[in-house]
Amino acid sequence: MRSETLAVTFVLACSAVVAAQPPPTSKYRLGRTPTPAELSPRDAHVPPSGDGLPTGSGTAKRGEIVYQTRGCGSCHGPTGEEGPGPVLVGSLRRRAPSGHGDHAAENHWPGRGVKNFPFASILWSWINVGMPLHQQGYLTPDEVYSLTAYLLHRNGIIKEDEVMDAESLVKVQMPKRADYVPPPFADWKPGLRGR
Amino acid sequence: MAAMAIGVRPSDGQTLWSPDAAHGAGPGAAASSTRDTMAYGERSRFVTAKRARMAMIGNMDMHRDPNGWDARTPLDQMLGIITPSALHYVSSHGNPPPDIDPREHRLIIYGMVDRPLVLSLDELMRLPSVSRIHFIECIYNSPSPRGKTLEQNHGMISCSEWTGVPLSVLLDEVGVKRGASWLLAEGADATKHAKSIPMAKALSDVLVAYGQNGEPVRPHQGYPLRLVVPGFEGKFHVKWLKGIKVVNEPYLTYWEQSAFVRDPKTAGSYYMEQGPKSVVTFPSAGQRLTSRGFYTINGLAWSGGGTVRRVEVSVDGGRTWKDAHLPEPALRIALTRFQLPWTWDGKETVIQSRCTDDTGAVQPTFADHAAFWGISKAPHGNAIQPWKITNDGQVLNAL
Repeated sequence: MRSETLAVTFVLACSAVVAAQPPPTSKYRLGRTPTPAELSPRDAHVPPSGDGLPTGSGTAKRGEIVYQTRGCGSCHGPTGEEGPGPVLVGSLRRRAPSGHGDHAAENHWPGRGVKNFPFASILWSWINVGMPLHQQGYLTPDEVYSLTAYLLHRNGIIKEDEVMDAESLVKVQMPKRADYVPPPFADWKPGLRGR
Repeated sequence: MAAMAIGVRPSDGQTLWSPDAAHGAGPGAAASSTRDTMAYGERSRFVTAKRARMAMIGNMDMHRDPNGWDARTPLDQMLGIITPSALHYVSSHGNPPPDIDPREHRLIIYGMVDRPLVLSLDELMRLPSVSRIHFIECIYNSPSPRGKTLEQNHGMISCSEWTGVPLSVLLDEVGVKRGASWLLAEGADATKHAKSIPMAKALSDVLVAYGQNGEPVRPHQGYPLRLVVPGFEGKFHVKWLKGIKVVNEPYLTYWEQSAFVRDPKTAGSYYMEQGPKSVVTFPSAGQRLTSRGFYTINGLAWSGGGTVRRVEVSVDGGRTWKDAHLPEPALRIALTRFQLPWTWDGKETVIQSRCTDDTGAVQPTFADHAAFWGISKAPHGNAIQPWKITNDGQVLNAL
């Protein structure tokens, strides 16, 4: 009886070890180890914690120059308020002239619009991976920090001379930060739908 | 075509997918084609079902490529649970499919793992694979009072057999580190669509798919690789998949910026699973009944939560409901057909259907759905769709 219990305990202990520490080598031994460049891609998405933000910095003043010289206005308008692309600055209820006004539709979608982003990382990350459209990779990290600072300033969130970098960006207090509710889905299970 | 076969002629509503020069050949063009139809088959020149392309809106105005347009599946012309790949709905945020050479494409699995890994497509295809039939539905696929046809209100759902490697197999290969609770699935499209997925879902039934209905995944559906996240909103099913990053927080990428933000006006903002839903596809808005008499009511039901257990149909404006027949197969997280024999007396009435899934969840009315979300145009638009039949046989949206 006692040896059976011990055996069961031993098996349980082994399976716990196996679950916590997967074998160092894979089962199928296919593929290769990524290169350092593949592990830190230029177009990496950045989460709210700022994990992966590159070195570099920028201010709203520099951002205004970048906005003017890198062609942002050709879609978003001379000052980011005019469109025809998504409105980046100004009244969140205002719709883009083209109709949908994705960024502007505060009345429909909480969280939409630069001002409504719960974290400044969303703005940085989107400019970095998505802009300028079809010319992604064209902006340097300094330029992305500068554009982020420019749009945060134009939306009244930071001061004109505040420097945005990997440390300061994650500390920016976005106005709608309190509406962010940490999702309950880390332990998602089938059927978990709320109501 | 089902509608045609039983004596129904399309009304004006169907001009949405009438032939247009830029989007496929009409009957005449097919007859004079010199294409080798023995090498790769074609449908009959009399079969003309087409996707309805959607107007360019808002921030998609910047995308000039016609292949970047979104398109809806002509649901009333579907003859089973599988959507032909060429008619699968498309929603790519205005981005045309990237032109990916499969010999160059790599899938990287990295982040909080013991052994980060880069796989070529050939290597991925050497791993054990499964084939499963699942629907994918856009989160915006919501019935609206403005919709004039079945497609306008419901055409952003399609169902395919997906073949690929279970994501759990790949995660076993790399060894997930303790504390990892999320994945970021990364696409290779112009604006790098990426979506955070809870680890428990990733380990349960997610597929890295390279096959769709027996062929390689179509370019608009993510060629060469698409993540299939059964039952979750369409935007989780990341196309042109190039990366799986194992992480410990949701990333809040641009396309999920509002996913975790709770609107004080609404009870809940961040379900991931599509709720139980059904819609009558015949008779449906845009069609017309040519005479009184016998018809078979046809429809489709589905749930992101599991299997369709029951579909009820009302032909009297919701006063009484009858259980519809569910022709096999009724698969988990797949489109499921339903049918009900019906004799129309030629009088005005309203028909509608209501789905219950095997978790016991019931499809809500439009009013209940709007009340729950606080707004009428809410995501997860799984409200009941009533169709009004006028006494001259026209079928209209009754919302």
